[in-house]
Amino acid sequence: MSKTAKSTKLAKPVESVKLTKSAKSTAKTARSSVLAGISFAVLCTVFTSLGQFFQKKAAITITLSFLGIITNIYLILGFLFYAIGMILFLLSLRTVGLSTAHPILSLGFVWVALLSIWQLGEVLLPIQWLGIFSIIAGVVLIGRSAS
Amino acid sequence: MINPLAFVLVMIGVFLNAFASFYMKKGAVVMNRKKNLISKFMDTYVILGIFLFVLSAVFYIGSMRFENLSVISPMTGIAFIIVAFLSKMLLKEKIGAQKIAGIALIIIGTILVASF
Repeated sequence: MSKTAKSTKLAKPVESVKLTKSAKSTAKTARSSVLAGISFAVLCTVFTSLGQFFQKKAAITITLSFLGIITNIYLILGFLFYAIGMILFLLSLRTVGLSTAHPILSLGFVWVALLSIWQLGEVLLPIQWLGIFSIIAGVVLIGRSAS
Repeated sequence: MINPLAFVLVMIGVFLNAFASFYMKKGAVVMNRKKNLISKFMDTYVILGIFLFVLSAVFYIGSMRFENLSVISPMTGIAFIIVAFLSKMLLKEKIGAQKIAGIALIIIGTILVASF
């Protein structure tokens, strides 16, 4: 790390400021970068579940022909939201471990369930609600174990 | 109960999804070392990860033709077990008691949502 910081200092002064800053990495900045990583993962779930929701709409509305597939607006939206989610997931993985970031993605189930009820008219039983709360509790534990 | 064809499709999707996350993590580590924004995203691991994510999405969409989204979506939770193993075995990440409890709660939650 210090070696790369030194070599970039010769080439680009602006870059080196950023690098030495991260090289310091006091306990406080380490904690805030973990929080940033967790926030990116949570934000990622919002986008991927919207993506899944549009994919379900696509699955219902799609007509199986080449033109029908590439012009389905829900399919396009589905992949677009998924792509944004993926970038956010990558940003999250830069600062937290895979075993932290990946379980947080399960929060997507909660958003998807709420969207399915609200927009698709699907119904959840009380025991399924218990499952939703169990997922939320699990994600809280994962977040606590990382920070 | 879940439609058998939907089950097979979603399971294939789950494996592809777990490996997608694994390669994304490998890509994210490499990403931190690259300066150029384009070369950050043109990394082999990142591209492989994205490719596997898209492929898994195709399988998920296929399975959704035969089953409700509120059933399919929690099924994808099996990926959490696979990813936990991949992180421990291949990435040597520490997985403490709290993390295992969290993953267990998530899996219990997904089963409760999926099987009723």
